[in-house]
Amino acid sequence: MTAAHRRAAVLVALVWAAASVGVAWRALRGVDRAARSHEALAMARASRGTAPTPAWPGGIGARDSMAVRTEETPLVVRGPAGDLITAPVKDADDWDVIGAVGVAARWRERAAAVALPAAAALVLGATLLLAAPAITGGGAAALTAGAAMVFGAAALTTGMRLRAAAHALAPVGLDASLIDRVALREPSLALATLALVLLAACAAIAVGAIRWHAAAAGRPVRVRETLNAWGFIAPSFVHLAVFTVAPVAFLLWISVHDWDLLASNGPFVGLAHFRELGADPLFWRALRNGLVYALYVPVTMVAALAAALLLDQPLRGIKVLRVVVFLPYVASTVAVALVWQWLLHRDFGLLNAALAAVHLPRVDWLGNPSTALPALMLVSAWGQLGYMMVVYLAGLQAIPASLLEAARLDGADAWQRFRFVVWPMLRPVSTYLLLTGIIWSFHGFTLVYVMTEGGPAHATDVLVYRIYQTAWEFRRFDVAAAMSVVLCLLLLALTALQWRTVKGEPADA
Amino acid sequence: MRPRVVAALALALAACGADEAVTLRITSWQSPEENAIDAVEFRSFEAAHPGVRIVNDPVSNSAEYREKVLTSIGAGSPPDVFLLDGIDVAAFAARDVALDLQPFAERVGVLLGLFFPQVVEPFKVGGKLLAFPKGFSPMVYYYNRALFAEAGLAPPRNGWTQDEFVGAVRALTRDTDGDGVVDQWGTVLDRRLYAWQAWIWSAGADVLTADGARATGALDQPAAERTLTLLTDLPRLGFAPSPSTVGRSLGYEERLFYSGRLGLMTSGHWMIPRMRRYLEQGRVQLGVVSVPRTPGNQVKTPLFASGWAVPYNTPHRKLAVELAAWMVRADAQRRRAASGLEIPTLMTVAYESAAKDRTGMEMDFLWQVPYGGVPWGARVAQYREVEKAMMDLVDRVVVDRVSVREATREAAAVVDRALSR
Repeated sequence: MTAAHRRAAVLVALVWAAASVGVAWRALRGVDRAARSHEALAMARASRGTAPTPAWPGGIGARDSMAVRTEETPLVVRGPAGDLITAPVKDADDWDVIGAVGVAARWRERAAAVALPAAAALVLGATLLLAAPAITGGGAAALTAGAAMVFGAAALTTGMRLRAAAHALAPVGLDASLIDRVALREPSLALATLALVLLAACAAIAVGAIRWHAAAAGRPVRVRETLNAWGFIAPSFVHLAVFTVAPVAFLLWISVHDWDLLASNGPFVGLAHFRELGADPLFWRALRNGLVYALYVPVTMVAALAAALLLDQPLRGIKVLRVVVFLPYVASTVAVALVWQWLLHRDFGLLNAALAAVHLPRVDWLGNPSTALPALMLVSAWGQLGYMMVVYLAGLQAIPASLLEAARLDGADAWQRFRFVVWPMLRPVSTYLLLTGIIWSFHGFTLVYVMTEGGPAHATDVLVYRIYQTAWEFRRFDVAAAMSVVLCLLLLALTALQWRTVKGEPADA
Repeated sequence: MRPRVVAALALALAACGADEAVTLRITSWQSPEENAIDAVEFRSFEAAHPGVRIVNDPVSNSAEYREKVLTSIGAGSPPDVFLLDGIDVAAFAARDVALDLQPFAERVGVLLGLFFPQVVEPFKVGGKLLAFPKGFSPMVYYYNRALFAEAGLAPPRNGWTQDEFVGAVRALTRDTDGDGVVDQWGTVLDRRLYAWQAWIWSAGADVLTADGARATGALDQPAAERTLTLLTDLPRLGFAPSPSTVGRSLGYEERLFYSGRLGLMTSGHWMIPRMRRYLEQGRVQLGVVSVPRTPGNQVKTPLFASGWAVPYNTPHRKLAVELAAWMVRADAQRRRAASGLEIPTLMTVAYESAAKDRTGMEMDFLWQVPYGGVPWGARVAQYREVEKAMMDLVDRVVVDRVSVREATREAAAVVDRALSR
């Protein structure tokens, strides 16, 4: 083991010791803070209905404003024996204040709260410092044992804290059975266990990393670089884990449980929600509508390519034209939806006015099941055209002029140049636009929500709108989660296809 | 320790002066106009309760409003007061998140005997009162007096029958410019359950069984099917434009009504503020009449009410209940009634308001109250799913052209599944 590794081990030991001291400090502070916040209030509420004692004649703090204030922010009175926390005592209806209670920790509990975690921290720190020069698997075991001591001490002080609170309540004449109820509200042991496991895992990873790195010193440069690379991506990895992987994992959990916003500990139901989806014709209809709706993507791509070819000319004012075509893409989707709603209106719409002008029958574009989805696809295409055109323009301008010139010299006409030079060179762009466009089409919500609400007769009901409706209108988050899982799998398959396609492209394309 | 505690508490409580402000959060789905009216009440409450500040936190989307309120209550950071829609009472009751206001009503000056009992009823669940009702409306038909006169029809009267209704819409439907295309319709078919629930009730039928457990056995009964056939035939026979799926954003039917191209339109009192300027300009002359009934049956219409509720876990229980009571007191109801938003829930204020009305519509609204029923949403927690199934029912008949019988059986099966969960 090199000096660098010993330093790293010492650093781990110091961080560990600091964390232990922090835990000890928090345990000390917790005596006051916990009493100051929820538990003092819980005690006050639990004590309702008790008769005022001689020490606490009813009527103290009975004024409205005072009662409210005391309840919102319990008063803290500093004293030599520790902070005194007060909270109101209310009548049986939890309505009028009839007194107040004080909660304070005794000095013995306060001392114990400091001493136990501090001793644990010292023992652990000493163990680590001693073990650092030759840190081994035994070191990891020592770390785990140390963590257990720290958390055991914290749990112990929690129990003491509650007993201290109970002692403090007793003098004011509160019912002992109510105090017992308060004592039952100890912080969850499961939480302490989880924290212990996490901390031990962190320590084990740190020790393992040091040992691995020590062993890796003699390995090739590539291996060490790999380790460094992992170090660099660690922040992003953590971000992804917390904000993407964890929510997805939670979604999966919800989808196999009976879950509700206010009853989040519903029973495990396995694949029941998925089976329900399988038997729900509206789910299949939404899925089918989504697949049909996605067809607007290739159609828009053709139009966008044509527009890009037209606007890839060195003409005066061409940039203004490009901006005009691009504008719908940056416009608010809700505003776009409302404008198109009017344009497609059966009686007052511009489109029907144009049809009427040439003596064609009016069409109820959004009210007819056979035209509603195509109408939405038209609006989507209009909105996406500018974006796709810009991407194609970039692709066109990246084609080397020498290739086109060589084709011209070989006698290729305009169509042949497009067919054999331009189109193959644009394949990566087209693949990208097609697959990302289809993926995004499955996220289409706003147009459906604003323009048709999934109607008429579910003709425009797409999966994302169905998920929204199931979750937020019908309050069935578990079933909506199951739908989201299906959608997620579908999009994963498309993404995998995109990866395979992109990997299959020629390197110079 | 005791003397120290006594002294400290006494000092601390005495030191707790009126400096610190208490903030009460109130939320609703109301429009900016309604919030402006309520702001007057907030300021007067603040003036009467020094040290209290009220923050209004409205949510514009009603579907998201419900979830936002439920989530915030579940998360332990509830609003202090929230507006509870009568059709969401069962959903909130099922989660037991609203405080029972019954024990506090008299303490804060809410004398429930002064309210229309039909409007208090939706907020009562299992002996608990979940909100103080602030305003309500029955479903009625608005009719265009001028179009009735042009068609040579006498104005309809409350309690009229379905046959009289059909006769009227037949006479009101016209091609006014002679181009062979109908441009004035007798009425309009609104797909939403709340708009046609009164039709079913007034035919002696219902969409759910009496216990609210099933739709089969109610919706698929002959009386309900006959009424649904009549309703869905209206656009097919040309007496009504085809039901629009875009009505929410465009207000198409209302525009037809304002512009004199619609004879009868079903809606509630909430339409009055939007129509007021047309009424004042004399551009439209309106009347209000009950939803038609079948012979031998009484009129029955849902009374859609909303009320101020208090979450069970508000940190300011007493002040919150006082604020909820403040918002339904007579002055507050008078102000809202003056804006035409709703019918006051206090009987004296409602009749006082109707007495000032020169159109006669307010008295016709009040005529409906004794025939009011509790909407299913106040009794069935899955009401939103019921509503959606009923819209699908109308779409299946009008858009997909399936028979009423088939559509009612399909819808009943969907509702039964939802209610059995």
